[in-house]
Amino acid sequence: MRQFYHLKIAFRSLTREMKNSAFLLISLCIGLITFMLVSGYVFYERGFDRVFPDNQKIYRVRTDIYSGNELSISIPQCERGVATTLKEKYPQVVSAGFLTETNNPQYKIGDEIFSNSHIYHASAGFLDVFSIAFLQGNKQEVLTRPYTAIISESTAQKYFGDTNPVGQILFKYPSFEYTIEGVFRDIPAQAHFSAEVLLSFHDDMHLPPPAKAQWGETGFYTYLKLDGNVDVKQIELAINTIVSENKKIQFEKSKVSHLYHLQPLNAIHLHSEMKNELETGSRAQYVTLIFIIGLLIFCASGFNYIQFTFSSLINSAKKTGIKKVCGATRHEILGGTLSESLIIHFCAILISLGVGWLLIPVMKNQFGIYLRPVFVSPLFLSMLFAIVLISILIGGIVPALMINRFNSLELFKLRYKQVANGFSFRQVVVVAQFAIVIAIVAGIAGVSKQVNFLMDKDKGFDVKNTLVIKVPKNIRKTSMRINNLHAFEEELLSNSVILGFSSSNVIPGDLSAYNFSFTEALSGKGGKAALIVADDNFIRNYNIPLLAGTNFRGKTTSAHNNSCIINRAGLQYLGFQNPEEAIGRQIKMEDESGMQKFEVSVVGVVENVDFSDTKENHKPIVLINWTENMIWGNYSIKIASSDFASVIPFIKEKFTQTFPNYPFEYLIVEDYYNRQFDKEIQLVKIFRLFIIVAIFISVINLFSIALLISLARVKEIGIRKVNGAKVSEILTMLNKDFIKWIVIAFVIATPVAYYAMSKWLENFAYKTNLSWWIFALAGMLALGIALLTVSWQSWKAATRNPVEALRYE
Amino acid sequence: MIRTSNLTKVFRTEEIETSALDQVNLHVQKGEFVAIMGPSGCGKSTLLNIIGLLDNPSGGEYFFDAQEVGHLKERNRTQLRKGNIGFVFQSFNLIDELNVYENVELPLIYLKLKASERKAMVEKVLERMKISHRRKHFPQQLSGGQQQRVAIARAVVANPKLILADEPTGNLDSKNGLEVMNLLTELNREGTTIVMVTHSLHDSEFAHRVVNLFDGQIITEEVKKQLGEVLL
Repeated sequence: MRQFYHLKIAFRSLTREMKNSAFLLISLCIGLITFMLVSGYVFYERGFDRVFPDNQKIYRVRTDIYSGNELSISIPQCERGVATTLKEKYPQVVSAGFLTETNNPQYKIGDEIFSNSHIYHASAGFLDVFSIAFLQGNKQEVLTRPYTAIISESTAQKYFGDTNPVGQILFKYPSFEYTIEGVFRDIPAQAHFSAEVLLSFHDDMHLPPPAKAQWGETGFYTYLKLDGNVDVKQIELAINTIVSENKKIQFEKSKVSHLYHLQPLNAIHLHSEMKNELETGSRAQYVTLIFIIGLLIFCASGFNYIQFTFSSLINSAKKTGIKKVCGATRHEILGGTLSESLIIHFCAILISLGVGWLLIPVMKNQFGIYLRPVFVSPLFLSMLFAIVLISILIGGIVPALMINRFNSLELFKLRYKQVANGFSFRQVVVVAQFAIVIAIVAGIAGVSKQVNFLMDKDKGFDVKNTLVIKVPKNIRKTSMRINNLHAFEEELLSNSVILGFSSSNVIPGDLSAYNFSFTEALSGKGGKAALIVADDNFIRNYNIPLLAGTNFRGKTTSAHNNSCIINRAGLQYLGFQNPEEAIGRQIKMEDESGMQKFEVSVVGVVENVDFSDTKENHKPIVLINWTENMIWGNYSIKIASSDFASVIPFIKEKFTQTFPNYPFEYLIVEDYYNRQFDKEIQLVKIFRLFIIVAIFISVINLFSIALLISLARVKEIGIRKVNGAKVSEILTMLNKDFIKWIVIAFVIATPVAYYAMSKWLENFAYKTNLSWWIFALAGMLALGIALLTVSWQSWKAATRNPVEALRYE
Repeated sequence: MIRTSNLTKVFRTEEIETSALDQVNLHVQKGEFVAIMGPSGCGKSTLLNIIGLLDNPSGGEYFFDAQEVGHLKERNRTQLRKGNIGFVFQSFNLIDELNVYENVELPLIYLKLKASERKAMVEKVLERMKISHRRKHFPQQLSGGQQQRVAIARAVVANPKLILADEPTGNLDSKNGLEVMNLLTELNREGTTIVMVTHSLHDSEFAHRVVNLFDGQIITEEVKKQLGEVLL
């Protein structure tokens, strides 16, 4: 009953002090929502792969490939034989298995043709390692026979609805039929890979021999589940020993060596950024950065909350005095403040949870972060509960303690003390909040500048006005599945908007595998290079500058495959001083399995091009032109303007006529290429949100301070005006202090932001410079916002009739 | 009922020491109506606050109902105040977000009385103060006179032995002021001891005795009527 009384009175006083209660509520909500989203994000990112049972015991094999003594590349794959051999020979390896990409990811179920890059070949051991759960099918038997497949629950739902998928056929282009043997539970979103269909990988299947060979290609994402007590180093050593025994001759011949490491599963998402990752992970560094800024914003809104609690304490001092005169004890005063705190927190929790819930789809669409599982996790909820509890107690108990220090008479006279002189907690908070704003603004300007720099940087080629259509890969032009490719090509060129096209296996934005060793035939110098199959139009369409020699002449085949073009980075590996020197020289190419070998002569040298990664330095590329009889997956079509929409229907029509069994898929090269900046663009997006919140928090605080100060200085302003001060002079007097605070904030924030950004820029091989204007902009913005905020209050205070001000004294 | 002996109160700021009360010896009998008068800053309110247990003296002794209370802690003073002393202020000091009924009810809440008891007591006093019809109104909706009647109702609702009034008519016009004085006189007649601080000679005429304070000292005391004499 008594509690109810307190609640009722508390509710009334909150609604009476509307402005202050609203500020209090807003600060709390911002704090809570920021906490929910940021910690949700951190939980989400850090929770990757922890969804799998025994995740701490699971490791992935990483291969460092050395050319001579130089590390040429690290990849998250190794040879097929690693998993099976380890499982057989080492009892500490509880289970071992692999995933490997399929070539030509085009499929058909029933009448539906689709392409899907989340379909892999997998070994049965893979299912054990990740404890994949089955809804249908026998876990012990699936994926052990050739041409069998298992599909995920949602894939089953999508393609089969209520029909039983087991026993049905998945057709894989060009001509393979896989029988579906089981349905597995969907791989959670918080996994570093996503697999919708898993195909068997069997010696009796029609697969390229280098891939099938136990010690052939390093194309297998291999996972081990180890015994809890095992020494990881020992297993790493075992892998290195096993592979070097089996690939001894190859390594010696190609002057290439492999060094194997085990990567903990839990570290993959945040700490692994190799070429050929199954999915793009996140960067631990960015997660930490966002966490720190989120924490700062959380603290900033926490300060506001304390401030407004303090203001409401002052506002209600007289009321508390009356209560004390009427006999209220300390406990009853505490009851009152706690009730107010409870009500405000209850509202804040409701609003924050509601907003948080509504933001789930936004976060998913905008940032690819799926917060729902995080929001319902007990750990997250208990953290939220703890924070709210602490906050309720701070908001309820601290004011009571403070107010109980005063007797009722003092409470009648308690006023907000002027803060113009000296240094108060409030000032420190304002300075800190604006320092945060300035640092984030400078940060966002810096990050945007770098991203724009990378996007606009001379990549060595031109991706503008180019779209790529996906055609079958590694297939003969005369295949029965294609209706007159020649006519298709002619028709493309007959359209006046289309300037030209080229055929290639890789397009800008694709990750190249640097898996071919290339050596100069005479000197034996060489390294690892990416092999790109491209026709003579490729260099022309993408405007890749030729440094020496010539472009390909016409199209050739692997039967008379004698010419290649290398890039500038390749020169150094091969031991040439200048581009001209390389022309006419013979180069030996060999894949990792040693099964594919050929020799080519250099006809041209092109400038370095960054096809996939501007964060790293240039790597060697060898272009060959086996395009006379084959198509390789991509047609890059250069058009006259960026009006893609006008030409796509035409291309689609022709495509469907020519490739009746294939889905029409296209991409715009510039967008595709810029995907590599996704993480940075996402960072900028999150920063932008942060900045809005940070500005908002600081503005509310500053506004309330300006209000309090103008009230506290009413008498002073009145006296000054009576003695002849002009409005402009009063305005200057009031605003001067605020400007001083912003200047202090600027001085604190600038070096911090400068240091943080310099550190961040170290990630990039090519970086922009940190111009002075980035910081000037941030400072000016903060100053502008601050002045806008306080000027209204200052203006009101300055234009007031002084008689009014003095009358109450 | 009230006896002070050599009561002093000194206010200290960083540089100045001001003596607000200097060796005050005051005796108030049960059932008496005493007016304290004097110019601004003479220590009237300070004395009233000490008598009302809102403040402690710096020196001397203060006996309330024969108990020495001058050195009690805040908590004990609150306990003693509850139900024993009612306050009426110049500026009414009503709580804005409570309506008339709730403002009057406030002391009863802290006396932890049952809701039914509280209701009966509040209703009774509202009737008496002729403001029952305004029970749902909030202070801002009332005239000054009505607000002071509410304040008096709050001061007397718990039937205190002592009512302390600090310039109760100071913010009122003469008609409303007279009404308030009549109410206080009536309460006194029923046995409540009243100590009132006032500037107004007119108001002081209602008291049995007038104590004149100057620079923190009692300079004169004049008896207007004998205790037990029927007041006008």
